[in-house]
Amino acid sequence: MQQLRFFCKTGFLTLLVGLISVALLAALPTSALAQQKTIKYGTMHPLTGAYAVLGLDQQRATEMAVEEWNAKGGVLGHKIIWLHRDDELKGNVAIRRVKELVEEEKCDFIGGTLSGSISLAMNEFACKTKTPYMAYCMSDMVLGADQCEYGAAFMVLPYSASLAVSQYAFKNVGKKWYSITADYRWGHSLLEGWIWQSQQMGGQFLGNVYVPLGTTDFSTYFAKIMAAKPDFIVMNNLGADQTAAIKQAVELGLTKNMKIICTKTAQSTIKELGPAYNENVMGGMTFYWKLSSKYKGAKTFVDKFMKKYGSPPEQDGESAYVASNLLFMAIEKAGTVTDKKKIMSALEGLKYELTKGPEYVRACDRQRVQSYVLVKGKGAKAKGWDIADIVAEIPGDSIIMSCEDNAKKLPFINVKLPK
Amino acid sequence: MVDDRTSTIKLPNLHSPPKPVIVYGTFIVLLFLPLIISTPLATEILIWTIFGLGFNLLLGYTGVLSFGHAAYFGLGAYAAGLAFRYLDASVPVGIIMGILAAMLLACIIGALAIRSKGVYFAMISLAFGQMLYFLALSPLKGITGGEDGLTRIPSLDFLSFSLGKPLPLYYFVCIITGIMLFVTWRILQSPFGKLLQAFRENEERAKACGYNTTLVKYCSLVISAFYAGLAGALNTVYLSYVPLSTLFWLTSGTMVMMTILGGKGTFLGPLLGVGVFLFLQNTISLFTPRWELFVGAIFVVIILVFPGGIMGTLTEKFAAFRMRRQGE
Amino acid sequence: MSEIPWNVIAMQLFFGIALGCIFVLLSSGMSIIYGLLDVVNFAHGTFAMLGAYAVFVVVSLSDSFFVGIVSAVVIVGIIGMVIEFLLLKPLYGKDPLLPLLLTFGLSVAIPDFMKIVFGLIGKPISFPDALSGAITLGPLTLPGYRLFIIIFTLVVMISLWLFLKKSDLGMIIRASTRDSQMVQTLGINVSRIWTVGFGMGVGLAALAGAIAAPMMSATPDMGVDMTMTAFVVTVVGGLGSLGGAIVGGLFIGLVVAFTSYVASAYSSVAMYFCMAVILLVRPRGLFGEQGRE
Repeated sequence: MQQLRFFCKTGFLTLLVGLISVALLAALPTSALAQQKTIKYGTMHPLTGAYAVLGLDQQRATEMAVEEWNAKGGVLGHKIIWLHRDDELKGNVAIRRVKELVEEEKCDFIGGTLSGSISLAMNEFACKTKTPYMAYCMSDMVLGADQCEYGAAFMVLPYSASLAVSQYAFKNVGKKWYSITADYRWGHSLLEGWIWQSQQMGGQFLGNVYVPLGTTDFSTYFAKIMAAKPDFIVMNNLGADQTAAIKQAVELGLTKNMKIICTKTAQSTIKELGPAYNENVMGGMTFYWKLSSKYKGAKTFVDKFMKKYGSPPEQDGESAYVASNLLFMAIEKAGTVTDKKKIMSALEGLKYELTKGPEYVRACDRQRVQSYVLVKGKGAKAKGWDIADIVAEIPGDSIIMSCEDNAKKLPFINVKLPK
Repeated sequence: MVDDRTSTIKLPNLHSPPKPVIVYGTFIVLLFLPLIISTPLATEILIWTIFGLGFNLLLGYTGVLSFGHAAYFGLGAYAAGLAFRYLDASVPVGIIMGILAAMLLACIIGALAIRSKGVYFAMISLAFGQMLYFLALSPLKGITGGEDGLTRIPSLDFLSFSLGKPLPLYYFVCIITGIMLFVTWRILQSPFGKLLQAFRENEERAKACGYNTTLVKYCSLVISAFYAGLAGALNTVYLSYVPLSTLFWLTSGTMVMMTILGGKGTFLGPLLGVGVFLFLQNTISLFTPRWELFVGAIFVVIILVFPGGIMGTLTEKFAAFRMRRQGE
Repeated sequence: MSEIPWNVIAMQLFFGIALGCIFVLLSSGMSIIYGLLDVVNFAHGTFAMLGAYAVFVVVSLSDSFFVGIVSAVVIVGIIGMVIEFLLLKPLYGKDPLLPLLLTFGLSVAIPDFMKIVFGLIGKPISFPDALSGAITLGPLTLPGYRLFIIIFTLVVMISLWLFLKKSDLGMIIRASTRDSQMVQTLGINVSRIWTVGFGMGVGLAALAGAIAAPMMSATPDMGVDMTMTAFVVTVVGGLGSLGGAIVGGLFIGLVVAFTSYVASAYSSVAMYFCMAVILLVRPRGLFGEQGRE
């Protein structure tokens, strides 16, 4: 026992000395930085986990925006110090790290995240600490009671994606549809959008299957769908789920008789599917790099990104780029770096032209109003990053409900989802 | 198979409860933790330590492996969260609700499954844990918030300290951790604690001595659920939010890993395991997005170098060293 | 109730069996490893992921899916043996949970390593042309690739069974599963048998990953769910029992297929629910040996 006690005593002593020296080392650089006039922007991206590709693009695009502003001399003469953290796509990790960013690193502004559910928690945290939060992802946070004057959202609302894609589908593809929906709130929001639009445009809804997240075998669902013979199948899912679903649909020869339409897809998903993402598969995005032939801003952005990182940006990269830029523009417009409330109101109604045509941030709920792009796969003809063609760009104003409706979640709250 | 080193050199019993100075000393070190690492990280380490202390009672001192402790942790978190959100409960009331919910669940699962042995108990508890997770994800999403987790938990105060502020929150959790360290220490010293350890060493013999082994294991499970529920409820206070992932099997898995890493069946093992795990994860990810590669590799190395867990192997090595010196 | 759509049910049965076949391959590997080494291999799905990537690499070099499958098994089997030899061997005879922890470490590190080598975006693997069609049997359209999976698994399991029953090495492996000390006493180097057994086990995992790859692309993170499924199936079947792995795999495959037809949202719950019920009624799984609990 005596030895044990001795060991513990010396052990603690060494531990303490070690830890104190680490702390001293860590404290040094921070004190050196405090001299300049700076603002601190902290962002969160899932760099690990299933959506690491998208998280990485968010981080890169944010880096690009910050570098551009710093090259111009910063915001109102303040150098932007940018910190970023891996949120691992996990709620508890995200909140711990964002607490570190705000409470320890004293970040003035926060941004990022790829998951709608994490963005809701971040939004709450932002409200409680009065820190402006730029959400990069598709999020419901401007809807209903989640509205908070310190949060702003820069990807489209989930239902907007459905409205955009369904508008095109019912006009150009067919009326009979069947859907595969990831069984969580985001998937359900998309489905609500589809059903509502279907009622407006005379679509014929044949049925839906809810699929748990992380499902790898979809063949068991396709038997039912093949029997129903729809004109097209709607995929309300993402990432690995979408990859598996499309691969297996193509395997079963479904694309010979019907189209597949993904409400939201991603460049990396198309790439990952290779030849399986053929001409009969379509998907929605907020940004695809081929917009660069349509918009000058897109071209500058895509070229620069491509040159710097070697691949064209994902829609999530574009969203991050616009969100960071808008934050800095709002600070400039407000003429203050400290009055957070004034900065947020400067963001309201902000008009700009960055990566697409002229756009604006809606004054009432700080939601970016933007167009939605529908692309079609190229299957075996894909080459390098030329993996899809744009078939339509649906203007932003036509796919977003008024603020009054949004606050009451109308009209989608009245949509009855199938069991 | 028996580790032959233990039979050749007589070692002090590693698993005996530590001297009081260690308990108090640890608490004092914890008081200064926010000076060394970031406060949110320190808070999280303490919460997981509480979870780990209870888990270690079950795994390290009783020898029962549960792979579904996320269920107790998560249920504690949700119960507290629901109490805060809908009943406007005060902090102590919410925490007590969390503890009670977790213990109730342990009573049920324990009654059904505690007779299963070894890996099979681990797997049944995993099955229950995952069922709870999927229930919270979909069928019960009206209550739990589903994938979004439980949000809109109001700001919490305790004795006019705002627990939304980092330092008051830390010391609130720290004091509870201190209490739990003390409680654990007392449990280990009590006859019940001795009984637990007797079971782990040789269940048959304990049975032959007339003890109801099932009942003791059952009690151990319920006690460890108390810790898990408390940790879960504190996690809710800390995040003001309950992520669904608290119920996911990875939470249980991480707990198992942390406990073995630190040294199961050693008093400070959980604290060390939790600390090393979270600190590595938090620090390396600042330098590279591919931190998992390094954390995984460090893990493998630690296991090879410290097969008894960090605390276990260190104590063992040091004791053996002292023995040798005394022999000379 | 309207009339029961028999053809849809038959399809569901077929898909369930095909899905179950992949589970069978996965969990038979896990079962062999557990039976022989008492190691719960937490990196089992990770080895399956390596198998999928091996197929991708070999197919892009040789253009033959079948060469790809075979070399996936060989490559991953060798990797497995090296890992067993270098990392797991030092842990035998110590705490039985240490190998679990070590394989957990591997399951964290290896996917990240693959991300560095192959990039974050997954790799597409096409169906082999010969198998991409569908066969029409009366009112049923059966996709060729699933049919291939079923036949292939059947062949693999029969040859595995023959190998274990008839060959010398197979008999030694079975004997070591029963009583490794006795085998050691007979003058056989059991330690080497363990290495071979681990290689075989992860080779089977790689096989599962390889034939599943065309249906879902090879991604670094695909292993996590596969590990969980392998756990559930192996435990339901009975740890260390090959027959149990087969029955358990097909059973869980069918359960998933039919719950996804009746109540799709519950298909993941169903798997765990079955596991809990089976273990409560029969604590050692369907085919688990008495005394190995």
